Amino acid sequence: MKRALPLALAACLALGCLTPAPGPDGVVNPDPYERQNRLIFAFNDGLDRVIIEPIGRVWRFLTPRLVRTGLDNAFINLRFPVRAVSCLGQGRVTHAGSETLRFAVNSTIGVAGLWDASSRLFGMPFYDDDTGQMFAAWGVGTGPYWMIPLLGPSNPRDTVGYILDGFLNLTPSYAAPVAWANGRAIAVPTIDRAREASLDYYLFVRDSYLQRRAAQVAETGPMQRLSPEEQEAGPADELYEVETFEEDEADAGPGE
Amino acid sequence: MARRVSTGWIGGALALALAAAALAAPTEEARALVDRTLGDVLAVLRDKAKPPAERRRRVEEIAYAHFDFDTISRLVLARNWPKLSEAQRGAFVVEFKRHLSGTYWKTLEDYRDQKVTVDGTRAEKNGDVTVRSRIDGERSEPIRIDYRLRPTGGDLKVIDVIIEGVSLVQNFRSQTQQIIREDGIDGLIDRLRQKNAEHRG
Repeated sequence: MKRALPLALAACLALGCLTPAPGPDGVVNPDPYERQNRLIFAFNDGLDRVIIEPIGRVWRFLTPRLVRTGLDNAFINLRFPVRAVSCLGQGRVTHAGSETLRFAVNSTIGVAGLWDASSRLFGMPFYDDDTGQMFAAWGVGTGPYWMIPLLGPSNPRDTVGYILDGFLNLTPSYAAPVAWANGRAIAVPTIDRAREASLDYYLFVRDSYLQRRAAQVAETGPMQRLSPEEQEAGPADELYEVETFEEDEADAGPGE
Repeated sequence: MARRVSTGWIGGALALALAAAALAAPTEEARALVDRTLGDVLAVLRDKAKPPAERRRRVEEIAYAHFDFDTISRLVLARNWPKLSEAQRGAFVVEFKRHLSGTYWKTLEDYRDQKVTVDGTRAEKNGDVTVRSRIDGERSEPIRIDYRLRPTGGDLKVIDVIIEGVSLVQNFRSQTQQIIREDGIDGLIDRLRQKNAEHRG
């Protein structure tokens, strides 16, 4: 950990150089390494279908929902330093304190974190920040989208964040496979639907990741706990402009 | 001159008041609509007496009544929309509608036994209304689903669904743009047809 921090900071500075330059049309290509990324994605997806997904399904079959939720809660609880440090790093001291208090409550009243007592009993908010989000708050750019073998979609900034998250996570390494299996079991319907709904699964995952990550960074906090007025707006209004296309239509005329 | 200024001012204030009234009403209306529709859909899904095919047909009916698939298709295809022929547009809207309702149905089936709550609205600058809902399920954190509605011919119609910050319109726009670039418009429609055949199978 002592050596990891300066290394990560140096990496962060280097990330600026990796941020893709805009193309000739002024639009930044979010995925300049698409060919390589698709290969890694195909490998990950294949591995998932052959090994990880079956494990998740067996786990889902063997365990009642209550057990899966309980374990999920416990692993979320053990990630508390990730959230506390990220909040602290963004200057949100009360949020960091709140996460620490959550950890204390859930670890005791919530029986080793199996039950989310602080939410259920005391209605405490949940600040699900991570180191990547903290870097984002510091103004570090994402760099190009990339696919990591075994881990999935990421980018240089969030990869560094992910490594630091690993150091901050209190989950003992022997329990990590359980966290994976349990997480995959919970994700079974989500991933099934994603595979069905996507016209191109790779593009679906890429866009979902980019949108989700951008939304998390924009929130910098639990959107669901804020009143509607305080919440960050959703997708940009330009996304919903239909009129401009009609003008284009008049210029171009129908047909190919 | 002074008179012109003052009438302008009053006119402006009136327009503002009208706009505010127009904005205030749809948010409540939209909230009630989404709340009611989700209730209807869940009631159908939980009705075990009906065979699955019947439940699916009912949910599709409800979805078709409240989603504006024409606008969704236009928003998804964006700058590609004008390049489509009349026949291609028709084919795309039909296949995309089938695809969306198929996956929407299955997604709802997954959440059939979980608690769905409408818990907020937001008036958007362009007159749309976003209705926010949450599903409390397997994870201790709720899943956020937002519905963006647009006043259309006296009604409010859903034009986007945003799941955990991921807009369906944006997501399909990214996918279709690249597919059209690589395989053309007919390639995209073929792919949709293929997907729909898998759903039905």
